[in-house]
Amino acid sequence: MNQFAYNLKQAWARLKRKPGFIVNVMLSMGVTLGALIFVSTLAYVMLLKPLPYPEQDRLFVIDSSIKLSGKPHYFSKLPPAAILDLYQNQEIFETATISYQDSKILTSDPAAPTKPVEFVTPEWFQIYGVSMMLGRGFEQTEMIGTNNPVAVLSYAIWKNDFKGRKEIVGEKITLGDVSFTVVGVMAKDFILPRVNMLPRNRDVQVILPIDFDRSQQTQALKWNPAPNGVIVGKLKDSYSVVQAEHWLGKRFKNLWQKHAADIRNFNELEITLNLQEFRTQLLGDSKQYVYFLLVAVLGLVIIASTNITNLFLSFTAEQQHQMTVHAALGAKRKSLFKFLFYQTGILVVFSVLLALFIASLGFYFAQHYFQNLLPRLNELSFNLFTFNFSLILIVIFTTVFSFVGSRIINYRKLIAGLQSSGKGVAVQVSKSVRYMLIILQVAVAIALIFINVNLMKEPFNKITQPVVYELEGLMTLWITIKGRNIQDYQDAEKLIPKLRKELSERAEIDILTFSEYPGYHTDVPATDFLIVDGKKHYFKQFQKTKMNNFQFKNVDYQYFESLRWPLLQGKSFSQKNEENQEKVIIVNDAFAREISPEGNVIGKKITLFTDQYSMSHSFYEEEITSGQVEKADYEIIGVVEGLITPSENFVPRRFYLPRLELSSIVECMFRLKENLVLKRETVVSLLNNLDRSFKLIEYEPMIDNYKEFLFPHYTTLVITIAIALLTIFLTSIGIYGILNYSIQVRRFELGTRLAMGAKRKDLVRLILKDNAKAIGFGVLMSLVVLPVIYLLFSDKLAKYINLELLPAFVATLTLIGCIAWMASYLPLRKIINRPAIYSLRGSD
Amino acid sequence: MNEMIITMKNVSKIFETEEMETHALKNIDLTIKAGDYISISGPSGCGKSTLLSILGLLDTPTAGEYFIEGVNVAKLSLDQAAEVRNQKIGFVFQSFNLIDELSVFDNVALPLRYRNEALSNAQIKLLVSECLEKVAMNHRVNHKPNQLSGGQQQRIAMARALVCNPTILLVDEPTGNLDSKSGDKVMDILETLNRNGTTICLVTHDPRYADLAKTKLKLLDGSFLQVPGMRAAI
Repeated sequence: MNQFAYNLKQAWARLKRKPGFIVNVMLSMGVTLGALIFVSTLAYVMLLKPLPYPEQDRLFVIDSSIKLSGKPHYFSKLPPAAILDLYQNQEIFETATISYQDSKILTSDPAAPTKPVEFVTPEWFQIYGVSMMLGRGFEQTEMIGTNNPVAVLSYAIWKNDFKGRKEIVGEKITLGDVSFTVVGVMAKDFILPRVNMLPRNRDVQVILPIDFDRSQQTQALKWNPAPNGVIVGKLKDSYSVVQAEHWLGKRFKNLWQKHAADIRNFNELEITLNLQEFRTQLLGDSKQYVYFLLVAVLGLVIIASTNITNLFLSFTAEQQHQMTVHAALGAKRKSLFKFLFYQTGILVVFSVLLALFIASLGFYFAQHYFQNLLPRLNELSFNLFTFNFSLILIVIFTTVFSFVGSRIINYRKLIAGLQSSGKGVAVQVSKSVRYMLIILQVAVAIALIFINVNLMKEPFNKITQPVVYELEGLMTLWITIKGRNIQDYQDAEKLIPKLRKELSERAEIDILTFSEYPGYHTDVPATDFLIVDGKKHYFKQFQKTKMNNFQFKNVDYQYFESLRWPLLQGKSFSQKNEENQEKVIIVNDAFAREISPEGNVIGKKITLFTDQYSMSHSFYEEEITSGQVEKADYEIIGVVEGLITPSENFVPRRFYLPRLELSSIVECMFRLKENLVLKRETVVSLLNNLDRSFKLIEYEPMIDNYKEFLFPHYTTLVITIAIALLTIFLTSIGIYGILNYSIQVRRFELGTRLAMGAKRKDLVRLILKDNAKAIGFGVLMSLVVLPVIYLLFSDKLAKYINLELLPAFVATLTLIGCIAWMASYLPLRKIINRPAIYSLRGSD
Repeated sequence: MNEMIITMKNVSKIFETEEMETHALKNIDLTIKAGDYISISGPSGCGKSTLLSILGLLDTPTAGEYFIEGVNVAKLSLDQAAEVRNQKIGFVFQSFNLIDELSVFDNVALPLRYRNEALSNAQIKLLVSECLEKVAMNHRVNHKPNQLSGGQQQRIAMARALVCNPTILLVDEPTGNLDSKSGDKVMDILETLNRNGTTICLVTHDPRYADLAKTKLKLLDGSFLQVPGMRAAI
């Protein structure tokens, strides 16, 4: 032990004299290993770690795919009636549960916050092995049809909203207009399954019996696709996946035939029900994301390792004299390895400690900002894997770097060197090794920077893309008319005009519109043409994509004015247009260009279906000519600039109809007068005073709503920028380190050249020319690496392969060129900007 | 009477560190005429190498004036100094300072490549060949320096120093890394060169070799013991 402590002390004393070396190694290694530990733990949690649920490998989700002519049908999710039938009559699962995610307003709280809730059957608690902190989960008393108003709280809501009061069990909370008795609180360590999450939902906070879901209460919803519904079950041992899928297919087909035969093209729909492993369902397509991160971080590790290898090699070379003395005093080859091992070990341990700190920052940021992007992040933390992985890293890196260092020490020569007073045996990192290190760094850096520059292009374009309407000052209000069916127009017809009048009279509000948010449109299914002025007009573009050939949206007469969305031609809708349901439309520029290249479309007439249902459910090209569905000619009165939403890559052809949307879900947007605010509490009390049927779901500035849609783009941008910057940073210090060393090695040679009359520019040219070879080889190697990466990720990268890559590649090469130039010039400066004697000194 | 090619007046060199100032050279006056063969000797640390560095424009004096062929070179920029070095000064170092990666031919040709006026390959070949002839190394033109003995390497270094036909040859302990036989041979060549008109300034601590020069100067603590230019009187 004493010997161990002595060796450590000696190693530290040697290191201490080289603070620059310590900082360089620790920064390169700490940052890179931090990223490696973070990404590896993330990959472990997402891809390898068993789910925290009992018998998780037997859990399956029923997944549906409904296609028409090989293309996804709009009706691609199972309707609640089918979900219920499969749940009640299933034979394939030992136990199964249905759950629906939604959000409800906690009306018993004066601030009326919106809470993510999940409606479940009692088996949910058994399947996920929910441990309870207080009370109980759901039991037989909460089976379907019992209508028992009870609730189970998550630990988070209990702690935050109910102050962790133990007496909560037995108390009542009101969600929407139903009062629920709290029967239990889930344990802190229970990890909620984030399956089938609604896009903007956070972790579920309240669990409610399935009977209280809208889909169970509203007849109209029973046969509509339910994107938020899911059946999870534990597959019986007696069923294989194929057998179970066969049973599901048969059962569903019968049910479908009985209830849904009136759906158009019913007989041509290809319906398949699959059993998907719960784990796969949970991961979604995030696997690719993790693989990308792993490849990126491995690239960084290669760059950093080459950099550190060079640092260790040159550090070892500098210690030659010390080692010669040790050898003279009887140190064997093994002792010299130990000599290096201890000092390397100290550096690696420090670096791994720094890496763990950096990884913990990564965990924190991932959990706070990426929850909606990747699954299972709530399980991300230091675990046994992280600990073991860090230990393995310490062992591997210490051994490898000590070994690499000891490789350049020729023990025999060391002894011989002692005999000949050290002349002629100078330990150096060979030129070929230095070349190899540069080539490797350049190749990996080019590949990483190039890929990231390309990956950041799309999110960057999305984020900076101008919005055609004015986001600032626009508020969004989302309300339901409670207790009524979604398509119950009578209540809406009465209540919406009342609300419109009330809001219009508010002093804070400048102008308002009762229309869906600008991002939402309805597709008109599969068509190749439109009837313009009585003649078929075939679409020129996008003929390959049968679906979504154009879209429409109902807007009220103040829509464009409220949004400050400028008209390019013609005029906006008038109140009269809306009230009389006149046959006029406004089209966007993409639509206008399609039917008239000169863009002169005002006054042209488009033949469209007259009823809403046909517009979104009928196949235009078949129905419009068949005459079975009622149709009419709509006159184009205006053209607006095309809106491109964050999820779109081009402007779809759209038209707008002057109709006030009447349904029990009300979306409203209004523009506040300058410097005025309208608080949430005011809106809540305004709604309550107006009619108790109104329930606020959401009230927020439009810009927040928009930013939330942009969020995945922001995170992708941040991650790609971070990787690119890290690559640039590591490559810069790496290449600088190697070139600096090689210039130090060539100091006498450069001094001699100066003595022979070489000018500064001669030496700069010489060094650049020498390094250009290694850099050039690195570039060539990247041209080999890049296609390999492309082959590995071809499905993800295919859309990026185009001519636009060329400027990105040129930019990457320029950047690497600049780094190489700086790395060549900076260390050379010390030699060429001083009298030649300083370089020659010590050569004799 | 031979023309004066080098004149130093009151040249001093002070090395400063945070703690102290070291006066490496003190008020040196020196005149060298065309065809001279001067040796500068003295104990370790007396300033020999510093003087040679300043003579060769590898370093700048702290004070004083320095003329080469009538041009004041004490305050030249780094690039101007390089140009003068290339045209007027030939160096021979103790450790030869040949470049391992280059062949004997390329080592000798190196100063020609830094000339302002580019020479054709044929001209370079001719000049290199002439100089290698002078040191009797023409048969090793394609060898690499590490394939040669120390004495041979030093002869190559001398050929390199001569290739631009310099005004003066500055020779720093040329035999320091050689055995006595090779050392003698190198000194023979220097003597021959001088006989054929080359001006030589030799720095050595070996009195045997210092005595071979026509003018023998002794340096002690940064000053000459005899007054240079008094050669006729010595």
